[in-house]
Amino acid sequence: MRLPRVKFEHRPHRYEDGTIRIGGEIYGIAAEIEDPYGWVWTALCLMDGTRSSEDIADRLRLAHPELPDAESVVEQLVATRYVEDAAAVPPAALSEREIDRYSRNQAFFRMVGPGPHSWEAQLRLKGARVVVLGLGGTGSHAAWALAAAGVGEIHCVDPDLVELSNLNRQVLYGEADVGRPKAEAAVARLRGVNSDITVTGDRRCVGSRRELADLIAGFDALALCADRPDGHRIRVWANRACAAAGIPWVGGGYSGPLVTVGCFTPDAGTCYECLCDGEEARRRPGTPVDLGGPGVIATSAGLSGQLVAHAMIALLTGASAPPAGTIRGVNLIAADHHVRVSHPPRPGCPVCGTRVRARFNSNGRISPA
Amino acid sequence: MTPNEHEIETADEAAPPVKTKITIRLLDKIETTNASNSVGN
Repeated sequence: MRLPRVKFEHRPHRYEDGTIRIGGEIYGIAAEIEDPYGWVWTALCLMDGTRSSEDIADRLRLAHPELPDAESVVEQLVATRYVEDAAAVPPAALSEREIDRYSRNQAFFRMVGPGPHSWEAQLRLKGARVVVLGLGGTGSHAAWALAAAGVGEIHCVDPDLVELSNLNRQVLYGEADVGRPKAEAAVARLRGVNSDITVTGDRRCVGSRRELADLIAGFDALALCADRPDGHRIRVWANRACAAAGIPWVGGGYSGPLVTVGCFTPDAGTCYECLCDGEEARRRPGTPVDLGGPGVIATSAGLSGQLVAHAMIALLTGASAPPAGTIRGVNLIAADHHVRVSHPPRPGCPVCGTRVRARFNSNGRISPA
Repeated sequence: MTPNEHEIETADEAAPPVKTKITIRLLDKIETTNASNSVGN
């Protein structure tokens, strides 16, 4: 880092006892730093974007001759999410138009993310290729959010036509679209939302794991928002196909007021099938699980799709730790019900046991190792 | 230790501070705010 600077959002405050509060007010970001000798406060004050790390360490040593390891103090602070590189400039791969379009994204990533360069997350989004399978209540919101966020290539897949009863929740369609293939209408709408990305579509259903594997070939991630042939079976297909391809997937849905999203990566956490087995073992034997019924409103569908998109963005950017190997959610009629499904992998699981590690390559793309 | 907690050195309170102790501690939920002041722009 050339010119360390405490991020504007995280500017520190010092209490009377010398303790430093940094990172604002949000749980997960805000922190306190014990600083009985004032060394950290001095270092943070020096990190105003005008000095190098070496210069800061020199000045820190001059201000506190008793400090034995000024370089270490600076180094550790620079490694936190609270410090950015004032010398960093937006990458050349982003146009001026994109810099303007995604300026709020950048501010968000700067707030929540680590790293000296907050445009890196946007660059990763731009380099990502994502399949959105299912363009209904969940998928329409997810696809919109991914397009708005700047995912570079989105492939939209759904076999259905737009119906009037879809319009209570499916954000990509209007009355003029009734009777039109969802994939076609979605592509047109998303291209209108963001012409700086590539949006393609395919009106088709996925009828087998092999078909799903063919669909995701060459893509970086799958947003699974489909519930046919049934929600569980297609998720099992996704679990197997994405593990074989070495790519992550996110699946979301709702059942009335209950909204959940699962996030699965090929190199960390428990796979979907292991989570399902864990949940099955947790239930009273013989208890039927019926998640059917048409009840859904715009809010539950919107939350579902937005949670899918957010998990996907977290996966693609690494800006916040994605909850890999878990299912999380909210219950709109029970404010104290926070869903968090987490179970250990099953011994001998064919998916977890054959995982392919994934990583970001130099272009910010996820690729099999 | 969470990723945002950094034990830079270990303090020895009985001796001169040849070792520095700096701890960055993420605040607990109860210590942070639940308020949002976004104006939605």
